[in-house]
Amino acid sequence: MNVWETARAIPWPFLAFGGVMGGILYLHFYFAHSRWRRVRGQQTEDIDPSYVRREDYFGQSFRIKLQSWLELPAVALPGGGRTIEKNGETIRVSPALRLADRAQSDDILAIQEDFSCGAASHLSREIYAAGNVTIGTGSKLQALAADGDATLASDVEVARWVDSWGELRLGRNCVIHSRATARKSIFLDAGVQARSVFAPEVTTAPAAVDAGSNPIASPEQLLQIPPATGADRSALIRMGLDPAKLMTLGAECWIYAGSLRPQAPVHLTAQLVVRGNCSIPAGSLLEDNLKASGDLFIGAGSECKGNLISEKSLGVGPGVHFARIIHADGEILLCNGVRGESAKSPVAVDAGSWLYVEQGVIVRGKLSSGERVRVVARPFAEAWRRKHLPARTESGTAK
Amino acid sequence: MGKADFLAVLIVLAKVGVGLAIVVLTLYAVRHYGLTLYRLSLKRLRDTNELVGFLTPRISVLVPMHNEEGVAADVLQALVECDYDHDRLEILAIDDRSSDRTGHIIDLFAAEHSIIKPIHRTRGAGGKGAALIDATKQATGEILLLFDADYFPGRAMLKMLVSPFCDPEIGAVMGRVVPHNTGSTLLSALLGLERAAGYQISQQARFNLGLTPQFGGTVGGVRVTALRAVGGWNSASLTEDTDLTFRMAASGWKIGYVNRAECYEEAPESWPVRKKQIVRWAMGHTECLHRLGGEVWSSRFMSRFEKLDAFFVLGCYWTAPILVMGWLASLVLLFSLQAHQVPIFAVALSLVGYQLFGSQATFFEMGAAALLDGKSRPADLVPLNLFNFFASTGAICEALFRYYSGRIFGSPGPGWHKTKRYRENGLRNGNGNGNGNGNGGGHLYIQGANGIYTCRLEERQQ
Amino acid sequence: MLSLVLTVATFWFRAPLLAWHNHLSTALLRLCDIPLGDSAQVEVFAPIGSAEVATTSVFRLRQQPLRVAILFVGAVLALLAVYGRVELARNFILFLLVLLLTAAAVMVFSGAEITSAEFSQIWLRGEILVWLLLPWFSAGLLVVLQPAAWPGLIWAVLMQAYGFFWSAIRLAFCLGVLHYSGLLFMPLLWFALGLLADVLYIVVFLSWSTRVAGFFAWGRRISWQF
Repeated sequence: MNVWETARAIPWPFLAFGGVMGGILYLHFYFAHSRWRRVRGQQTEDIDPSYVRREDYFGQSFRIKLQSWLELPAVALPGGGRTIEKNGETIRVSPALRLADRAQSDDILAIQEDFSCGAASHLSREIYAAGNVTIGTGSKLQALAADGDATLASDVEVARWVDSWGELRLGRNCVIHSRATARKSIFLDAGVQARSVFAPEVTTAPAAVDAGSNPIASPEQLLQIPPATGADRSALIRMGLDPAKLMTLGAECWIYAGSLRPQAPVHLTAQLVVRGNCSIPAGSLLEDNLKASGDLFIGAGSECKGNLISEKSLGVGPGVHFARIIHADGEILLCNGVRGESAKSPVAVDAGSWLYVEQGVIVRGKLSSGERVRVVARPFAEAWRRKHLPARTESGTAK
Repeated sequence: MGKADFLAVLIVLAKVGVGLAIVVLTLYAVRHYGLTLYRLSLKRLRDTNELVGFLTPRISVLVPMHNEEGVAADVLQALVECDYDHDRLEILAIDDRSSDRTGHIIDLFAAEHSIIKPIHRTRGAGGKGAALIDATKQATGEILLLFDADYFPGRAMLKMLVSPFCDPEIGAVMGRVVPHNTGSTLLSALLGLERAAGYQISQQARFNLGLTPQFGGTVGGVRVTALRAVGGWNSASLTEDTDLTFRMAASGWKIGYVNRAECYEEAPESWPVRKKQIVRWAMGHTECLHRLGGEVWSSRFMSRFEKLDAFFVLGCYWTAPILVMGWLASLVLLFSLQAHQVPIFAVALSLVGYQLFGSQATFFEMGAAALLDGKSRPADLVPLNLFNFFASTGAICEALFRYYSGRIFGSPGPGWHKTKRYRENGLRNGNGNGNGNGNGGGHLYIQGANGIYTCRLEERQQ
Repeated sequence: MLSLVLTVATFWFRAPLLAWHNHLSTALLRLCDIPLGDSAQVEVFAPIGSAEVATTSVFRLRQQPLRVAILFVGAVLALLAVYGRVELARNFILFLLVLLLTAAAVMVFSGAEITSAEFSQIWLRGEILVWLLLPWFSAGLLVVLQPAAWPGLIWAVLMQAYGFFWSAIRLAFCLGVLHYSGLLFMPLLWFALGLLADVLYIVVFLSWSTRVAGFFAWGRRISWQF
């Protein structure tokens, strides 16, 4: 067979088809291949290794950026102050500024003294004031950083954050869609909502505290958990603790296999994990961490020196003192008169869902939530308790 | 037995093999899909991110090092710069019988920073587990945080890893490992996708569902009381992290996962290195399955759902030989022209379904992870993971063969191999890209690969 | 909903789909100058019915053993060359080599033979099931990742159409290879160009749709740093 005959015997059309098949197969990998060529040699750099969590990050970050913007060329304004143009945005620098009702502004405002705006104003960019700030009823802001005190009247809505270096007062039904932070204190009036709140002292509107009738019981009246060696088993069961369900998890840590509803105030001396719902009677003393895989309720007037953790909802009864962390994957309710404070460090309350705070609560630290922190009135709190927790008598014993 | 009988038996066995492959792989595929769809539907991750900084117990950071002169300074410098209260922090830098300058570097750092305590192991059993046992005896913290030497912990890392321990049931916590060398080779880029799927999807979903995320032995923490309660580190295990995970879970402790505690690592850049890693993991996992399977099964603390998932995790490396068996069995059926000649339509449907469905589950996880990370472009690389998948399957089959041969014939398994490092003093070995000065004139220049910090070792020597 | 519609439509129109599939394969085979015999009717599945398939002669070992030997050696060398160069692909190549060696052994020692109609039958049995299942994969993979339903629906329909056309093209190619080389590459084709190719294009569509969804990503990385 000569070369021509050999060549004619080769199925060229089919080989061409094979080439097309190969091409189509390569096309399946084309984007992958071109992505690889682009990625080659790059490092992953989208994490900031020098990041440190700061509660007032937004306010601080904005102030730092503003400082650099203020050094840009400015145009003087006739009435005092100046404007700076930056990438299509306008920064208005002004000495003390007072805006009337229904003021509108789309500029970033940098006020060198006090700032106030009237009711129903709409300020669509960030505001900085070196002095005190007052925002009128029903106004809408984007964000606010005040080096002095900041007072937001009722029904003000802030699309992002608020940060004050002094005292921050949020009027009735204010809504802060992100963080509210202050270096001195934050006052939350009825109906206020925020994603999180952090200050050396966070208080809600005062109300009569009804926890006075549930002081901590005397030691003989308390149910010891874990029980002392040799304790009467039947007596423990009558008091709502079945020793057979209590097992050690580790040193000074116990698991209770089932729901726990003691009939007497509890004295918790070790860490306890309840694999079920847990309802601690009023007047209890919890000296270590307590966790429930179900709902957790702490009775009125109790003292909590450890962390309180729940995988569902957590209710903190009236007048409870806590000194560490309260965390729930679901909702949390802080009833009136709750006090959260510690000499060593700020305390924190964090809810995976809603965090409801009744009036008359003082927390020295942080309130945060997956949804919102919301100040609620007594009827709402009572309805929440009825929905989430078993009915209890005023003394804190289960019905 | 005649040839026809032999073929008939072979075909029956092939059908059984394919059937077994269908059942097992479909179960795993359902699990992967379930976790991915659940993760995609999650509005809020279960986390304690808002509590970072509010819990500051005394902690000990353990960094075991064996011949890590190329990376030791980076990790120690990063830890020293962490924002954790130094009065409550100690860093135990463990020089585990190194023959290079690792011990010298540790001593220099310890001389400059009182929070660093050097531990020089010159004898005793080798391996990370043994090093951790010795270091744990000297640790004074309530919580032990672990980092491998080639990691870059960020400044907030320690606080982020500690915050879940506010829950008294948490015995160990795992952060998220992110390869930083995804641009080095195709393999490391593909492994970046794999890691993303494993952490962003699987670990987070399992934590949210109350299952057992895996403690990985690095970028993680352990409660000392929990560690003691379950008998401490197991130095004999090839995967002491998996071992500890399931001993803790069986004993009633929970494992936490912090998706946002991201720490860089170096992924293997060449297949031989990756293969050693897979072999160790596959043998270690399977060994844990045999040793801890009974304990998990009879645990009175784990729910049925948790136990089921634990067995899925411990037995995950079994899917590779089952898959290969399915393919070979299908080959037999093909030659017997019975590949799809099944009397029941539904069975044929499941045969095809398993091959498509089962294979897609892992890739679906990768795509979902890329989307959730807000970096969908790396998802372009997913098709190339088919080759990675084949490569891993072969390596796992080899590993299990060696493991079971070892059990039957008593031959030793693989030793504990430290994964190869590609970074040296912030520079790359060989021809890779670097961002530091080169070595020269006997001086040792140390610069973080991300330009975080700079330190000249020679200055420390003065 | 779409999955149900597509599956029902595929089942309802199975006869015309299979007919068009055959037309396309036949046209490609003719374009490649591959001599075709009379069409054959093959039974797919009882619920599906039968389908008409193109037939062509399949090369037999006894016709030209030398050709088979050359093709075998050539294929082995090519696979070994890839094996040596691409680390990551080694196990995959190894498996293909196993398939190739098995086929060669069967050809030489058992003399088993297959007709193109039988191969087409195996092929269609696999593919029709893929077409029926594909809408459900689309729902679970593509639609779920999209920010809205309509892009997912578009991807699902595109993938369904692609699956159909790509199957016809692959079948034509496989029949051509059978015609020229016989049983030698049959298992390799069935595996690599059969179900593995199905897996491949589904993965590719998954990655493309994820990329596009990323532009509108509703699951953006949480800015946890702030």
